[in-house]
Amino acid sequence: MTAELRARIRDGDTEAFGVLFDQHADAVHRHAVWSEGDPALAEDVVSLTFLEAWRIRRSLHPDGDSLRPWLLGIATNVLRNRRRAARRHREALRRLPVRDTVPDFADEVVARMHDVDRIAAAVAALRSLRRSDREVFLLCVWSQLDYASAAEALGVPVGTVRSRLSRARTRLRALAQQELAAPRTNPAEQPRTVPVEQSRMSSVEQGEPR
Amino acid sequence: MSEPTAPPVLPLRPARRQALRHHLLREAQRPARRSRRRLLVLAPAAVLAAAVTAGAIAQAWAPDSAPLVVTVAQGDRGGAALLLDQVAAAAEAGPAPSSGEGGYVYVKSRAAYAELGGGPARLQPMYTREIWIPRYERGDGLVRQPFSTWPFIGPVVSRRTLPDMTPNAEIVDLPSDPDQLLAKLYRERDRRGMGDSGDGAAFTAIGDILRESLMPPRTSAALYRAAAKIPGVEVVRGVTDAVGRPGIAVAHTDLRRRDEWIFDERTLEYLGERSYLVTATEVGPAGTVLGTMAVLQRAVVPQVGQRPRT
Repeated sequence: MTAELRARIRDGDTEAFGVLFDQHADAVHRHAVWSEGDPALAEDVVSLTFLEAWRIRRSLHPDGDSLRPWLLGIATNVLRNRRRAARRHREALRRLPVRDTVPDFADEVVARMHDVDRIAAAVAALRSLRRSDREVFLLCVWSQLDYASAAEALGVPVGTVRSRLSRARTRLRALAQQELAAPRTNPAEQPRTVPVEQSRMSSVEQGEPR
Repeated sequence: MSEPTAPPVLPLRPARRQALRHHLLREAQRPARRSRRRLLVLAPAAVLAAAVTAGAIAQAWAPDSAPLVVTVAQGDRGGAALLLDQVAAAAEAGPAPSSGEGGYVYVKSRAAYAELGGGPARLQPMYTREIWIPRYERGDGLVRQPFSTWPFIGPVVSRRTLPDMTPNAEIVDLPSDPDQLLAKLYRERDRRGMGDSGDGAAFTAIGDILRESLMPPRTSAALYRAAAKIPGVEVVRGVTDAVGRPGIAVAHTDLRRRDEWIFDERTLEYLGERSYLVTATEVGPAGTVLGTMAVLQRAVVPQVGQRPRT
C-alpha cells in the first residue's frame, strides 16, 4: 500500500498526493504549531511543506513504511529556513486562498485563543534547547517518531538522534528542577490570568482532540 | 514531571483544510516552471550556502568563469588571525562610503551557482547582478539580473522590486567591539545564519553582511576582527574570484563545504566569495564549486534603479 503510494507520488500522480495530504496534513500542522509556538504561523508551513514535498517528490525513496518521517523532515527544513522556502514558492503562496476572517463560532475562537496560550507555555521550555536538539525532541517525543524514523527525517545517523534526545531531556529535566527549587515571584512572569470566557470553555478543552 | 508534554493542538478547520488541499493540488497540476528561474530567485539571500534545486538541462559554462572543479588547497589555521587583522586595518584606513549623496546603496556583482539535486552539481552560467538597497529607511529595493539565459540570444534580464527591504543602515548597525559583535551573531544564528554549527552560521552571517552592503570602515574592521575569533577559520592562498582576479582567502569549512571570502592580495580589499566541496560527495568530487561571486562595484546613488556615473 505504502510502496504503491510512494511510487505514484514519485511519478507525479496528483491524486496520490491528495491522499498523502489527507493522511498527514494534521501531523504536519501539529508539528508546525509546536515548533513555531503559534498556530497562526503554522498554516503556511503546512502549505510550504507539501509544496516542497511535491517539488522533490522524485527524491522519495521507493520503499519504506509511513511517509510521515519524510514529510516531517521536510517540515523541519521549512521551519529552519522559512523565508527561503517562502521565496521558492512565492508564486504558489500568492495563489493561496486568503484565510477566512469570519470565524464559525465565537466559542471556537475562545478555545483557539486559549490553545495559543497553552501552546506558548509548553513550547517556552523548549526554546532553551539548541535548535538541533529541539528538533529531535519534537520529532521523537511529541510527534512520536521512532529513532530510525527521526534519523530519516533529519538525515542524520540514529546515534546522533539518540545523543541529541538525551541531551534535550537532560536539559529539560534540569530546567524543571530549577523551577521547582525557585518558584517564580516576579509578577511579570506569572501565568496570565484566565479570562472568564476561558474558564467557561474548560470542560470542552478536556475533550479536545490532539 | 520532568519534561513538557505535547500540548493539544486544535486541528485545522475543515473548510480551511479543504482550501489548502485544493490549492495544493492545483499547484501540483501546474506545469513545472524552468528551475533555472527558481535558482535565480533563490540566489540573492541564500546565495553561496543555498542551492538545492531540481534537475535541469546542463548549460554551457561561460568563458569568464572560474573552473567547475578547483584544487582544494591546504588551509592555514594559524595565519587567519593575522590576515584578518591586516584586512581589518586596511578597511579602517579606507575611505568612508559616504562619498556620494543618495538614498540607495548600489552593488554590482558577477556570480554563478551550481544547481544541485538529482545528480552531480552543475555550475550554471555566470551572470551579472545589480541590487539597489534602501540606505536609511525600510522600503522597496530593486534587483536586476537575468531571468533566464538562452543559447545565442544570451541573458534575458529582469527587474524585480524587493518589497520592504531592511535598509543598509540597519544591516551595518553592529557593535564595533568584535566580541560583542560575535556574541550578537551567535545569538541571532537561527535568524541569520545557516549551517549546522554555530561557528558556521556566524561565518555565513558575516559573509552575508559583507556581500551586499556598504559599510563604514569601523564596522568592516569589527566584522573582520570578529571573524578572526570564529573557531576553524583559516587562510587559503592562491585563489581566484568569479571574474578571474587572484587573491587570498579567509575560509571556514562546515558540512564538507568550504566557504571563502576572497581578498586582493596587495590591497586586502574584499573581492568576492567562493564555495566548494572539500571532500567528494554524491554531488561531485572534492573541489566541486557550488558558487562563486565577485563584487565589481559598490556605490551610493540618488534613486532606485539609477546607476553610478563612473
